[in-house]
Amino acid sequence: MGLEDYRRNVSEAKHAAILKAAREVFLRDGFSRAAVAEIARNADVSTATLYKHFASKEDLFAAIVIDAVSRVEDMSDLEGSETSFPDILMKIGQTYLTNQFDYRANDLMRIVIAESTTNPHLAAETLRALTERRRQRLVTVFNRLVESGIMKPNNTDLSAQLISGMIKEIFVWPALFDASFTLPTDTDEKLRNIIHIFLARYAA
Amino acid sequence: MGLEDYRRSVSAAKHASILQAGRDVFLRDGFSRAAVSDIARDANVSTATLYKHFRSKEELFDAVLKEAYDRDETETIVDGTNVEDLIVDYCMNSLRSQFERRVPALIRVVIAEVPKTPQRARDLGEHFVSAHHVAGARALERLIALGRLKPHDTHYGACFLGGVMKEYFIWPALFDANKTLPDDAEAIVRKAVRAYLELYGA
Repeated sequence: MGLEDYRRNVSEAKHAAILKAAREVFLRDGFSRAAVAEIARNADVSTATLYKHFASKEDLFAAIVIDAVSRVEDMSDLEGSETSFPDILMKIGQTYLTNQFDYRANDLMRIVIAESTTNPHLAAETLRALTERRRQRLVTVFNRLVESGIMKPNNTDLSAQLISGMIKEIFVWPALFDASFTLPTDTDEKLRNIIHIFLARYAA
Repeated sequence: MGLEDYRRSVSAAKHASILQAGRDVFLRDGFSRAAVSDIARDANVSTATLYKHFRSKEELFDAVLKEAYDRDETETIVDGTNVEDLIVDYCMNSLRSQFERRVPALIRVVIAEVPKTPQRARDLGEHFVSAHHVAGARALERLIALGRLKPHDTHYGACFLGGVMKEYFIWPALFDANKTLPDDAEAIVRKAVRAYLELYGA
């Protein structure tokens, strides 16, 4: 391994360690109370190194949100020709819920919402990273499904908002108000009911 | 006006101005940081008077929330013209009334307090999410009874319409204190209602 490669590896490892430490500290302390010095210490880097990777605490937080979303929201495998429309929708729903619950996006969002008056920039960034990206990805997926004749031609922005809206209505809104809310045991059945309605309107 | 009436009306006016000042300060500072002395000053009463009306900051906050989500039940579906307009009007009345009462902004304040006061947050979630949902489902039941909609599971019917409205309008408002109802809200609601009626229109 050359020196360049070595440096890059070390830098990537530090980057990942900072993200991991930051995630834990933010989830525990919220945004305002979280101390950058503690994040650096937990990640085993200096504060100066941390700021080389992330220009500000806001940038660091936004990176965590994007990290939480992108790990599970790669929908590129959804469009294989062998996949049926109901399966695609089920995958979208399960991915969404994994993200919100297992990767604790609900908790991250609650932190951002709490900061939205004092730190509007952070809130706007998070909304973009978390909600707008997902919305655009869904629209892209649905547009391709329309092109390939699986989905009826429709206003795909509305259908994307509809599927997210129904999922949020049942699973995410209650969790925002209640940190102890967990996914119900009949989650898959509820998802199937939502998908059934969606298919009735949009399956070609 | 007798002395008793006079006293009562002064007291009612003070009560209302404390509520209003309380709402503004909570919206600006959040619950924890809000100072009761600020609220009293903005309401033009002494702190002692404020505490005569509301025993604690918590009690005042609860009263502010109650005022916001106690909707006058004008939002009932009536029979009449075409069913698309009926549902669009119902949805728009509900959205307008929520933004007028600054419900999305108050929800933000409550969600911020979830770690500290979980019970109040659960109660508000109950009022905000469940009560709207139940009222919406009831309105749809009524339209089914009137033969205006095909029979269907109105729980999911309310999810359909409520989900779209929250996703477009309420959700973004949680992240932006100054968000208002956009000008094209009614056009978006109408599209959603049409999609809904393609499934369930009688």
